Amino acid sequence: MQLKNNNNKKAGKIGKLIAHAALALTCGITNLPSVKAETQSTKSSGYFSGIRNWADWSGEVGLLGYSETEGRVQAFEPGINLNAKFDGDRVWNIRLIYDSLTGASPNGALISGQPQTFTSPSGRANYTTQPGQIPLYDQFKDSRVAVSSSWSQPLTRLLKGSAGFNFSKEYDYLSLGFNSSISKESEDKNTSYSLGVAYTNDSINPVGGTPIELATMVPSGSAQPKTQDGETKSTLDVLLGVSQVINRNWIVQGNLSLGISNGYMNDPYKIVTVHDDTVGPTLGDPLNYIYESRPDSRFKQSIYLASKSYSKYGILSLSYRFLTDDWGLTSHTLESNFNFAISSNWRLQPGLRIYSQSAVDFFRYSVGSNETTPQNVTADTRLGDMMSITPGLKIIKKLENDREVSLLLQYYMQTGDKSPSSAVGSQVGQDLFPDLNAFIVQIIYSF
Amino acid sequence: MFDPTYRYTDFNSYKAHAFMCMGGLCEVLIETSDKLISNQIFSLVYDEAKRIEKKFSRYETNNIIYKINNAEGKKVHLDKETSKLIHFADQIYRVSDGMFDITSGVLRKAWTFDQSSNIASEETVKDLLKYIGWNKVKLEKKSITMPKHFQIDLGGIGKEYAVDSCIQIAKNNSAIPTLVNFGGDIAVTGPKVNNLPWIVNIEGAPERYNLFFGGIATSGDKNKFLIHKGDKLSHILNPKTGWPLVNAPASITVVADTCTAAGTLSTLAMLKAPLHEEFLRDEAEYYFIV
Repeated sequence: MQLKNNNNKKAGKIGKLIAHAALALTCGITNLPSVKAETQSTKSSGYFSGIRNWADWSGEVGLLGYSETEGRVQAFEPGINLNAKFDGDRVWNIRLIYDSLTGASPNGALISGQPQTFTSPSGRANYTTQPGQIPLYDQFKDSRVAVSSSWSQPLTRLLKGSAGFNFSKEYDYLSLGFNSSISKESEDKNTSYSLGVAYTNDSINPVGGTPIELATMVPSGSAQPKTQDGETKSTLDVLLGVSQVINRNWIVQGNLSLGISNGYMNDPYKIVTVHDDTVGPTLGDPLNYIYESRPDSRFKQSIYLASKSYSKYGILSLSYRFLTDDWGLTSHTLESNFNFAISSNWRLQPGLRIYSQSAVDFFRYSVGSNETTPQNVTADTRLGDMMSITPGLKIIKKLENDREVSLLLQYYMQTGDKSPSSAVGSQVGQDLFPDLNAFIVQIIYSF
Repeated sequence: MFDPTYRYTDFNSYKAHAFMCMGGLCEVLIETSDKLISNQIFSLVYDEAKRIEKKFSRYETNNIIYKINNAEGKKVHLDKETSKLIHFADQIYRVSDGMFDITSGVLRKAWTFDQSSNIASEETVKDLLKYIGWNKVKLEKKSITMPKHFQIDLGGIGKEYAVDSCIQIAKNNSAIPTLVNFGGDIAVTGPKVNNLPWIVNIEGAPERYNLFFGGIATSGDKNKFLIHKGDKLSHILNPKTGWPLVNAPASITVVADTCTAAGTLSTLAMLKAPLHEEFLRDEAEYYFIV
């Protein structure tokens, strides 16, 4: 047996001819492979490459624009997400988001054939909504800064742990949270189980004070039915998950999550119309408005099922979420998208999201003046019966070194029951659940 | 699509995918900790391997090889890929002075290399030699015309070509270090992470080989031979005599820019036996003889 390295010697005439001829064979598939290999090995950054220096950085910079039609809420949200990967699969993640919201937000009162006058949250001004118009508070303005960070690392060969915190601050809201999770992979790594726990503590200091629940809104200048005490809310979420590789082209995932919240859960800026329920010409007209009242605890349960499958045509993602809580709300979310290549550098991802929700038990379009005011009531349409459809298209361009830029365009269409059976008198014929449509544009650069 | 021969092993920093194809075990190593990305790259490689197997296998009855082998003297139109591959074989035929001949596959009918001494009868061999000879084939840019009863077999280069083609596909779709090993014919997309080499164990070699670029291929099979008058007859046949090579090395392994070049050089070296070493010294950059 012999072993030879003709180290300083190049191939001879036949060797060269064969090398060139063999190279030409695969030329149809690509350019000169050996040259390409050389340049590839010097590539250092990017999600796909391994650990270089002390950490391998990757991440995303994104910009989200959200614009409701008819000049309602506009949001602008730049954000950055960074991952530093260290030796041994240890990953540090940090995420920074800034949110800016402006525009006009529904205050919860019903549309009416009468002009309606409301008191601003600060209690220092009044504003009037014209007949047939959605009652909106149009000085709505908020900004939010959110920071979150986490560390994850393998604990043993099959066990992985992570811990993190999150912080977010708005003008009237402060949220602080901690989370931790542990995941275990099966011996063949095809199954993974995870358990996660998250605790969040929020403090709320509404503009103009915290409204007394069910108290009647009074005009500006008078003493407001509000206290200056801040409110708090705490939430504990537990998540159990399992993911399974079915075959090399298909991964499925299932999660079960439970959430318990306690504390202040009202939207301090939302009111409920009290309508005249005396039979006569004024039946259904708004008489006054009361501040909403929600229970001070909530227990949510949800199931999430997802599937991701890969074929030569593209990647198909499907997911379904079922959520139910002790407020009586149930919701179904169905989401799908298909990611496929249109050329070597361009990919398209059309998607569709369908959401449907049944109202919480204490949702009311309005309450009657002669009925006993219920203990809990809200007219916030976000807790009412509704459904939404969001078609979207993502355009992805692959750049050098596994960088990528994508543009997501979505159109959100929400509808609810415009003429509920509870409508009486002058309410009949009004659009009591106006449609909400919004454009969503998102640009993400990932590196 | 379900492949019962498929096996997956996760080694954390890299994933190993294995399946049966082209008459042997095919293995794909992908150096990423991301399961899904590894699956995606493997999927492309797998589809390419299966495509080439189907297209160039002589066992299929609806591919181009079947069409050429059953043309009964008629001209057969060649697609670009097949034409390239056959033209490559044509070049090798010429540089090897007729020793590398893709029409010589019919000799398989006469020989079975089962370590016995059952040699073929002279008459059978003589009969078969009538249907061998690449110089009798008319090869044009987009067509081939073979005499009646002639057959071609791309088995000698098809697997190496598949390895190179799979590596190209892996390269074109990601920068993840990938190694393709189809029954000992190996190629890599480039070095591993941190410019580390792939460590290849060559059977019979005293040390492991560090492969950074290109491919490795081996000719010869130590288990396939016949014994005749005390000589060991290699399973590699001389297309001119119809007889096996006598006392050729058990195997020759060559490292080159591509797996196809490595495979071709190792086969040609075998056909040069007993002058194989001189040939390798002149023509190959790295080689091992067992």
